[in-house]
Order: sequence, then C-alpha cells, then structure tokens
Amino acid sequence: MTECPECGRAIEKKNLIEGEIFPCPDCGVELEVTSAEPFRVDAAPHEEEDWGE
Amino acid sequence: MKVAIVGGSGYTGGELLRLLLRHPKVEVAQVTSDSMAGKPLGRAHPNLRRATDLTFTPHAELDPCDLLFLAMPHGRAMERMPEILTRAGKVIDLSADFRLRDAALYRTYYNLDHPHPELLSKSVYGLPELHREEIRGATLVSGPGCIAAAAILAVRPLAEAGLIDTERVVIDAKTGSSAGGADGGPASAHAERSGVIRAYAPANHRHTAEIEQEAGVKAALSCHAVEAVRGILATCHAFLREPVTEKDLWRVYREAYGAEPFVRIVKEASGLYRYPEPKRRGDGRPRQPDEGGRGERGPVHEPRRRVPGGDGARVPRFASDLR
Repeated sequence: MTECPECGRAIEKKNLIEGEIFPCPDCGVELEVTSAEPFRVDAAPHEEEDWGE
Repeated sequence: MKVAIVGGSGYTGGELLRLLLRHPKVEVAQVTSDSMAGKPLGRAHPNLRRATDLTFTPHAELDPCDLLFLAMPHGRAMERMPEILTRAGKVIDLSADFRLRDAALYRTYYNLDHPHPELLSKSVYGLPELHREEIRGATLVSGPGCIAAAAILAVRPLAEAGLIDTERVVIDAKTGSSAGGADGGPASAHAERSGVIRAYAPANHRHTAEIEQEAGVKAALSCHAVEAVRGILATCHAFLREPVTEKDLWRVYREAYGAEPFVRIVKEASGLYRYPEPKRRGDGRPRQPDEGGRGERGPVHEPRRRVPGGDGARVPRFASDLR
C-alpha cells in the first residue's frame, strides 16, 4: 500500500508490476510503478516534444 | 412509513414524488394541491404519468401521516406550523421558513417578522452531511436552499479545518431556471432566459444567511441565471491562512465526505472534464425514464445532490458533489 503523490489517495498494489502506468482513481493523475517491492509509485513522466527528430 | 406532501404540484413536490414513489420504505398516501385538486399527479408532473394512480386532494382534506413534507412557497408554513406539527410525527419543510436560527434575519432577508421564533431552535437544518443524527431525532426538519447547500458543502470543511480566513469567502453561483419554482415569474420565462447570462442577485441573496449560519463564514454571494434548467455551479473563493498543498485539500474533503453517499470529490488531473459540471451526469448511467421531464439531461449533476427546485450541484475546484 502506498499513496498518490498528488492527492494522497491510498493506492493498493494488486497486480501492478514495475513500470506500469495507471491513473489515480481520485485525481486521475497518471502514476508509474517505480518499484514493485517495496511498492512505490510516482507521477508518470509526461511525453515531451523532441525537436531533434 | 405513510407519507404525505402538501403543495405537491410545484417543482419541489414533483422532484420529491419522483424519489418517494420508488422508495422501498415509503407509501405516498396523499398529495395536496388546491389548484390541482381532483386531478391525477401526472397532470402536473408528466414524467409521473402511469407511475401512480394518486390524485391531488385539497389542503383541507389532509389526513394524519407518519411524515409530512411541505413543498409550499416561502412564507406559507410559518403561521401554521404549530398546527401542522400535530398532523404528523415528523415534518420536513422544503421552504426557507424554518432554516434560520436567528429570527431577526427573516426581517433582513425575507422582509417579514417570523411569527413563531420559538420553533426555530427546534428545527434542524436538513443537510445530512452536517446534521444526520439530529435529523433522525427531529420532529421539524428544514430543507436547505439549493445554492446554499452547494456553497456550504464546499466551504465548511475548509473553515472547520482552520485553513481559511472565515471573515471573507466569495461565492459565485450560476443556476438553472427550475430554481425559481413553477411560479418563477416573468424573469423565468424561456423568452427572458434563453441566450442570457444574468446577474439576478449580485449581493444580499437570501441564501447568504444560510451559508453564514451553516458554514461558519462571512460570505459574499453573487447569483447568476444561466441558460440551463437544472443544476447549480457554485465557485467558492476562500483565502488561505497559511500555504497548503493540493494533497492537504484532498485530505480535508476526504475526511468530510469520504463516506458520504451523495457527495463525490471531483478534480481530475487531465482531460476536458477536470472540475464539477452540473450538466454532466457523471455516473455513466443511461437516463432513466422517470428522471424528470424538465431538462433534456435529466436531474443528475456532478457534483450531485438533489435539492428540490435547484437539483443543484456545487462546489469549487475541490468540491464535492452534493448528491
């Protein structure tokens, strides 16, 4: 169990795996599982424009 | 439980009937209306046609019941309340007649002297999120005002948590036409409202008194008529005493409404629909045939709490829907 860094909503691990991106059920911010054991999530990085390509 | 409604031909009466006719623990025994006496309920509320065989009865033929709803215009129940209270074990008055605890405020906001100030302390302000237990034990419950309910639910948790300056809260409310009731007057006519955004009470709106009483703040309330039938959007501006994080605000609202069945806290991090929207259903359900004949989108709003007449929604950024 951890919490959303944006709104504090409790987040259960369930079947989430490391690297998985999912929305917070309350505030909708996209979260990324940064560690499965111990279970940790962080705000998922936003896609950025790549002007070099 | 045997229930009766006095003044059931208006919008509040119609909305009440829509809910009560399907309530598993309620038998709607009688609905009174002098102007519609003898006519089927569906004559006033077409969405209820074939939902009940009841007809309106005159006020004078009201029988005793377990629970009596008063759905009359403001000022009608004041004089008669002592006698009305003898007719039922419990009375829920949807008008403003017993909402305020301070009798002097009726002179300020309703331009009348309250004839039974001794009953004001016995009346419970009927917002279950604030007074659920008191409502259970009360013999007289006063239904909250639509805009007031929206604002109170949004502001009170912040005030109680000590996060905001309670001496200055600014509330900007937009409301649909049903809030004016079935006899809303010329200003409620379609020709007068269609395509219009109108400030109809930029200051001194009557609901200011309720908001201040129940939210515990000094409020400046401005009300606007917008082109909608149902729904209220109240944007509440409060001033912080100390800096807080967004997470702090979520915590405060979760503590206040996390277990409440009629309130949802709405604030999305992305997408088109980030904040509460009265016009949106919000729960993904298809519209039900009995959900009202006024307003093409049905009576549900987001945040949602059914407030007869206003069916209003509320809340600012973090607000909760008073459903």
